[in-house]
Amino acid sequence: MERNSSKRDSSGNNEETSLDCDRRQHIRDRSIGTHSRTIVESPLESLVACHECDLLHEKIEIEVGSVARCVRCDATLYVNKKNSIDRALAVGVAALIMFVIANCFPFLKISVSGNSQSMSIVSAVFALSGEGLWMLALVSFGFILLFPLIRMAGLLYILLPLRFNRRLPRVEFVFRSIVYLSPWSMTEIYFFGAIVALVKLASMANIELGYSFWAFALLNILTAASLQMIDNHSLWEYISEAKRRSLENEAGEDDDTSGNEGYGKEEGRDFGVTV
Amino acid sequence: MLTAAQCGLVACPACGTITRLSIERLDAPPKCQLCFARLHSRKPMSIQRSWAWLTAGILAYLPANIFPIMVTTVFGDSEPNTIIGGFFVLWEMESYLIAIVVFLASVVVPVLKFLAVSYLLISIQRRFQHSKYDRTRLFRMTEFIGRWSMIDVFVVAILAALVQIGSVAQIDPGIGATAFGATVIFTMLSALALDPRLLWDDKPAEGNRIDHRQSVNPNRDAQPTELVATGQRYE
Repeated sequence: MERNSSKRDSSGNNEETSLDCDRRQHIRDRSIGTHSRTIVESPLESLVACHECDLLHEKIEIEVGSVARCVRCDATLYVNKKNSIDRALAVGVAALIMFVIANCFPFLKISVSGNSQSMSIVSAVFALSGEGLWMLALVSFGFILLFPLIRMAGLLYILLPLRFNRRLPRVEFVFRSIVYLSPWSMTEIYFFGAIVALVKLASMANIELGYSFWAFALLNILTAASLQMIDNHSLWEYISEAKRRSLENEAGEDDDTSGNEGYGKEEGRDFGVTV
Repeated sequence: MLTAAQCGLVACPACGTITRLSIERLDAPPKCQLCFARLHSRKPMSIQRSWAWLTAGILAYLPANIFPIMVTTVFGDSEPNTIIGGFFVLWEMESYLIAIVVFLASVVVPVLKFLAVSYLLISIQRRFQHSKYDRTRLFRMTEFIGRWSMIDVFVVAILAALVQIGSVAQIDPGIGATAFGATVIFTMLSALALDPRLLWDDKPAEGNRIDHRQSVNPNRDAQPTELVATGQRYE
């Protein structure tokens, strides 16, 4: 349905369509095709290119909780999340605490006929350190522990200074690391792997779930929640917002305004984020 | 319908900011003004890199199925388990749901991913003009689902860490696990290398070296010009 409607719109229906119901908005007729002359004139800050099909759209403000989608391929362009830095920070700190707890206590404990053995999350990595497996161990260490940790810490590194109106160096680098590492952070897959392992063993042995198991479960829920609250796009909006503000302050101090031309002084830029 | 490339614009892959490729910065490789990510209109050498990773993934999938992914030892009897063997064991244990999950993650998803990425790559190279929308959706699904195959490796790792109960039972990871992990990682890299925007290009703009002089449109009011790509031939 969605798809049909968006396709029909993109094929030259020129009149203003009412924006969609149930929390999904397409940027109808804002695709550049219908008025290609205006797009060339409009400021770059008011444009967004679909990351999957490269189609240019003009940004419009969308309601909180709705999604702007590409008219041609239906990819998500940007989301106006019901969010605040405070909430994202709270969840981020909680996730980091859960991460620490999950790594301090036993994860699973097995007992068969009097003998018992327990494991922590890291021991799965060490278990892979046999011959010909150390590379896999190294990679798993990254997927389960290192990359998720970098991601969480990076998020705090970006959000904390924003919350207290400060600037830390190399925010851009941290932001890019978060973006590029996100497909390689696999805590939720590890968690489901643990469940599969549990089921495999359940009939043969007695298995206890450790504290760390529950902390890890919470960690995954919190990670999902923080992704709900803040995605890469809105995170970048926060950063650029702060950047622009600090640049304006600098420009106010001395009259040299040549440096901040690229940073979008237009009003149209601050869409989608309500701080 | 105008794409960013047709207007001489590039969207930053990390932060999405749109930049105009300009003549003045021709000497320097283009970088995003705001977040300093390297800019490219299409992922550089997308097709070649994607094929290369895919081939590596398919090659790694053979040893993944031949060699055991783990060795189970119960009361002194060692038994190697291959991927498909693990599925049959679970099926006989009548835990059908888990058996199906394992089967999906270790056989269906990798094979479908090989087929899907090959199809997408061939469709770009042959310049199919039909069902671009569906192919984009196929790409999105491939990208999303691929990493879940890693579940198999983690199951082996967890079992190997947990089941080390002296003489009673012991599970050790096998070399097949490395091969399978390699398959998953290579196919993920293959999907990451594949640029879905190529699916939509009429005149495919493969390659990273965009001819700036021809793509740039310094006069904002002028009609947008066609991007001219001078990248590698990709057929």
